[in-house]
Amino acid sequence: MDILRAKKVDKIYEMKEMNEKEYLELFSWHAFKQKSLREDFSEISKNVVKYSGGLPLALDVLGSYLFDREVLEWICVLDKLKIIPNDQVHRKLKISYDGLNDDIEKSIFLDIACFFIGMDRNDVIQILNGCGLLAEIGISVLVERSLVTVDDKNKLGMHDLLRDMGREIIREKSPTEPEERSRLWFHEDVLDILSEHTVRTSYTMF
Amino acid sequence: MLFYRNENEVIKDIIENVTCLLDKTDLFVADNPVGVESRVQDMIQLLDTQQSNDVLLLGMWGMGGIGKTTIAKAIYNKVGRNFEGRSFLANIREVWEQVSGQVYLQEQLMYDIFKETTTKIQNIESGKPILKERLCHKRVLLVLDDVNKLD
Repeated sequence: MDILRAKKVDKIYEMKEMNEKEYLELFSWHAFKQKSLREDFSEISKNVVKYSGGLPLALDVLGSYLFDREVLEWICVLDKLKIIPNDQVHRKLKISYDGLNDDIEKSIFLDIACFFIGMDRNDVIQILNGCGLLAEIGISVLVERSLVTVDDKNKLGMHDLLRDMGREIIREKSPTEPEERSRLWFHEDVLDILSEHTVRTSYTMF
Repeated sequence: MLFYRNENEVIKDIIENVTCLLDKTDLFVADNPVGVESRVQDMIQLLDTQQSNDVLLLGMWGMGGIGKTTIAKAIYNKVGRNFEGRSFLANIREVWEQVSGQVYLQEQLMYDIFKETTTKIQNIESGKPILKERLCHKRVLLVLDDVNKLD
């Protein structure tokens, strides 16, 4: 906002938040693959939307995660959402990451967050398969969960907040010592470590 | 004939339609765009109010994840063809910090508007006058996504 004020911007548009009807419609598209809520899930859906933090992105991610799940799992997600304050959206988004089936899917998510945004899906599959990951299925799962997008030119995309969440997951394992992290994506870290440390074989850098 | 129109108009319509079909530079917006259209209309109204040859700078703000990029892409698709050229530079914040990221953005801009890759930009400073000189006679739509600094 300060940037917009300081530079002589002629007009400023403040993004309107969605209204309740829009929230529920967007959520329904992801959670039920239809325009409106399913009757039997109507109450709990409204609650999930209420505690999702009010961002369309969170509705994409949480809705996609809940698609085709039993009501018990819905209750479990809702309980988790309730205890996270509404302004900590990244923690709400992380519920979907934590719910990924196995380490391979998590690993692919982190690799994309660090290295592959904007790259061709097939190229990335080749690279990851070469690292022993089942990338074809993994990426499909991530797309189903709205954690990764593939556009009409077959390019991989990931929302900034999800990307930052992924990098934070790696960073927080070793906040002060980049050389202990599983992936290095920032060129200065890479240079520092390559010139000052003995390189471990477990690094992933591209 | 009841629906008779001037031949010129019909040809113009056909050309516009064909160009539209051939132009594959539209951006992917969303599988289920909810509430996109009304916000796009709001923004377009802001763009429309002053018709002049000046540069119009329109800023959009809101918290991360609220859908700014989605709306910006939809606007780019919708009104971009009314301009002589259009360019959508994504992820400025991150690209800017990379080695030669700034020159990359300048080259990307040149390519989007002039569809040529022959102009080689040596560094950010030499790129500035090139862009200034070539862009000043054109009406272009330039979308800068994720800007967090002034310079």
